[in-house]
Amino acid sequence: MSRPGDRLRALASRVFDDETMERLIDPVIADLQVEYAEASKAGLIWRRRWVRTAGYAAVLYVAARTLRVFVGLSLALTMLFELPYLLRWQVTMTMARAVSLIPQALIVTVPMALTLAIGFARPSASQARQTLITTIASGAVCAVFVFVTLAWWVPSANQAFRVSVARELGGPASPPRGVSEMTIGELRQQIKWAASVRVDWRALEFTYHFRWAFPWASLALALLMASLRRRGTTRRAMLLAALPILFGYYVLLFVGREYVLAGALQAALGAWMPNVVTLFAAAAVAMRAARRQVIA
Amino acid sequence: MPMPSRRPKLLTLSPKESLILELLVERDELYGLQLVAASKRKLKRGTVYVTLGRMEEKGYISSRLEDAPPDMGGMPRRLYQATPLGRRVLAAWTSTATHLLPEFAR
Repeated sequence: MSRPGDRLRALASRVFDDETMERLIDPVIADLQVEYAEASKAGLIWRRRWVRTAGYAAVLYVAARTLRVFVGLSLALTMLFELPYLLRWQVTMTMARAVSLIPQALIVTVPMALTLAIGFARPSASQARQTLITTIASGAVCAVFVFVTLAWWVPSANQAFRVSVARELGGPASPPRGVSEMTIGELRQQIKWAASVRVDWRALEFTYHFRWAFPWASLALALLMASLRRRGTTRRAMLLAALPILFGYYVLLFVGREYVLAGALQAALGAWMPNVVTLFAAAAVAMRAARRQVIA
Repeated sequence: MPMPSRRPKLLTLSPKESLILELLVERDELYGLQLVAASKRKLKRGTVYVTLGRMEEKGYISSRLEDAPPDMGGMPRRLYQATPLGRRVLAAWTSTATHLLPEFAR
């Protein structure tokens, strides 16, 4: 029979390294199990429930603390990206309007924060496999989050912002959706329509593929940073490397977009190019690190 | 016994760390939850383990797993103890605080 916390521990052990498990997660779960068993023995059903809830909350708190650099960076960068809009906007910036700008900032800040947080993490040379699993898991979680944000949250938040501004300026109650306000399904329909009436649909097509490709930036960038870590790069060098890596990614994205708009590159290729290049770079660095270890 | 991973450059002691050290000096060896109970809820069960982890890293406390798993089943619990460095830091901090803030000594 499984004890409370066993499944949570199994899940945590896939994400956190041995040291974090031993020092932070295991003590919480051990105390939870003993308290739970005592309450069960005494027949205290409500106490047992409370112990389980409080124990799970403690495990989650401890887990969240280990992600504090990532969460802190995400919040700080989101604020930084929002600030120019908040200061320069011509209409009244209400709290609701400021909140509706957050998703747009998040899609940029999450991959950035993850890249910097991996650079900031303490190296753990003895647990290369665990580090890689944690990196892939973090990258995948961020990718899913950014995808959901980009596919649904951003379009609805942008549209809410437009409706609110249109109302203030005496415009239409329901302004038509622009490209940034369309969901992936709406974009696909719009591309079909544009193709049927022979309107230039390249920008639409790039946006459509961008929505699928960009979320994976988190994973590609995380893998590149993990490869650098495996190479034995110091913390300071990792942080210094993170900045040109991020800059390079956005340059590739910009160049890809320009080529697509000029008709020199297919939209899918332009949107996925930064991810592909980043993954190739990650593979090259990892292979070099592996060769070094073999020689050593 | 896990060794502290690095020696701190500056020996700092937060109020929570000082409370934990006081309790450990007074009662020798305690579990995380026993610390929460002994602190009369000044320490929270969610935060105590993070503080304990940080203190272990600083070298103020050491820990070991209990000898045998408890009868009722479950993972072995971790017992915490103040190290000589932790005791010295607490003594120095208490002495300084007493000299600088007379009301602290009351």
